[in-house]
Amino acid sequence: MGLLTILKKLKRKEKEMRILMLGLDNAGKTTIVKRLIGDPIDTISPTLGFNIKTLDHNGYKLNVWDVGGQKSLRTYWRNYFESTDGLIWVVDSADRRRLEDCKEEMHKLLQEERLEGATLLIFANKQDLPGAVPTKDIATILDLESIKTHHWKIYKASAITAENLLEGINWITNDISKRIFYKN
Amino acid sequence: MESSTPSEEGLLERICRRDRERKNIIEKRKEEKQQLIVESEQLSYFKNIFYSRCKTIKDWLDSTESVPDSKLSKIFDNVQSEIIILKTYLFDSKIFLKAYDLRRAQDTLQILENDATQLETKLIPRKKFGFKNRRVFNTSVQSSDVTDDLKDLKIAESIATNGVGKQNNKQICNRYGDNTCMLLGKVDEKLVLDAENVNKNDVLLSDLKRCTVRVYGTPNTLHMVSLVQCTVLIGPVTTSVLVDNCHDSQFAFACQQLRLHTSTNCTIYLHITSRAIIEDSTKIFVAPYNWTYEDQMNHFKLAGLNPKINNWNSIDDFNWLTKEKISPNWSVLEPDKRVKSWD
Ligand SMILES: Nc1nc2c(ncn2[C@@H]2O[C@H](COP(=O)(O)OP(=O)(O)O)[C@@H](O)[C@H]2O)c(=O)[nH]1
Ligand SMILES: [Mg+2]
Repeated sequence: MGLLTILKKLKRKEKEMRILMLGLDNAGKTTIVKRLIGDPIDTISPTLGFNIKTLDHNGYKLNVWDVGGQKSLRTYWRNYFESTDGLIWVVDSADRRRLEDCKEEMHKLLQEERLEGATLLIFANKQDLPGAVPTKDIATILDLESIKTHHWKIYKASAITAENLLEGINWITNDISKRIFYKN
Repeated sequence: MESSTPSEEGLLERICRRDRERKNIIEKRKEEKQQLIVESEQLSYFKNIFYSRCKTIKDWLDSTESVPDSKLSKIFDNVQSEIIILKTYLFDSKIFLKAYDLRRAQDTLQILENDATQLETKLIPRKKFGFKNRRVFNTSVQSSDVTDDLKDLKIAESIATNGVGKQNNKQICNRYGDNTCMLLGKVDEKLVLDAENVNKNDVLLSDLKRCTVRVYGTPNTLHMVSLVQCTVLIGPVTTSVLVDNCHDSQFAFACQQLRLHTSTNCTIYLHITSRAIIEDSTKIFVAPYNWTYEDQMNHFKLAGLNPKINNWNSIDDFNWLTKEKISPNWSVLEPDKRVKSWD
């Protein structure tokens, strides 16, 4: 029995998934996590280092890693890649100024060997703002069509109104479970 | 006495042979037994080595709190290489490890690794982890989409600048399919944005030199990029203020979060209900928000900011994460040096 099989078996038993939440700073990662957990969202501070939160969702235990988006931390993202099942990339849809930066960071991330095969969910966040770039334009700007190495899906979302947050989480957990719990 | 009979010889030889055989069997059994012991001992041997070395790493990490700063990077280097060694050891040992032991060892390593990363980020001011090759992927074919998009943005900006700028007393609000207000590329000007244009929209101030900017109302987010020798006064911002590459300027604003990057010699008259962080910045001075205008209290309400909560003097520096000493990159502006009136 190889290491991978052992790990797979363990995972299947515990119904555990490891999900990384990444994106530029100020995208709304921490707010989304807090919204999902039901914590208050009006006192959120910029994330120093990272938070790990566990969500129970549809019988799955999701370990969500919310990693600070500051430049000095981006090189540390690597440290969290090992055995990641899913990646949630959060975009500040109103931040036109940094959309290019956002695209670059995301594509760079997807080239990481250790993230190979991880399911990718993109939240086009802050869609409650009148100045938000429409989701389909975000998809174009981020060049999602070119992604062939990962299952991906983009959702129009808002951490403030909670629009599509659960839908997104449902999709990513379904996709992951199809891959790691049933296929062998 | 000279010799024994053949039958006797035969007997003696037979006895010797049997004895040898017996000994061989014993030896073999012993070996087999030994082998078994080895196998079962392998696990405890592994555990011994593995966890005692984990303990060593833990001790190293614990020592970082009390060790002089100059020794820190050596310690973290040691921790890193030790973790790698243990990872290899674990990998090599997986053949005889049971799933449970394997998992436990992996978890232990993972925790150590996370602790190390966290501590290192906290204790060592950033130098070696620059993000220099961020633009590397710029050359790829795919980036054309983005450039095109940004080109559109530029065009929209210049339309806004030419069209509205003249009519509206240098007030520029663009409507590039959205409600972003922008002030771009001005030198030596006095600029004003009004509440009706600003409320709930994102405001971008970029590439301004020696300008005075007043923004009345409640922007959703405020971006300030590449401002030099400017004075910028702003009403309550609903969410965050992002500052990048600003120098020799003074700002007054209220907001929920502040993230200030790569800036020097700036004074911020600040009202902040959550926290401010700075990164790659020096000579940052803070004082309480003291710009007032009519309607400001309404704007606080509109922005959802509590006027009574202000954490203006607690700033986190991403380049200075030790708790014992305060970052040299920012300080409180002495009261007698503060601007008394903005008119
Ligand atoms: N309008 C709006 N603001 C949001 C949304 N999500 C987050 N924010 C705000 O954006 C700022 C940054 O959020 P935060 O969660 O700290 O970002 P992080 O750096 O990605 O963790 C905060 O002021 C949030 O209130 C959203 O969906 N809509
Ligand atoms: Mg955060």
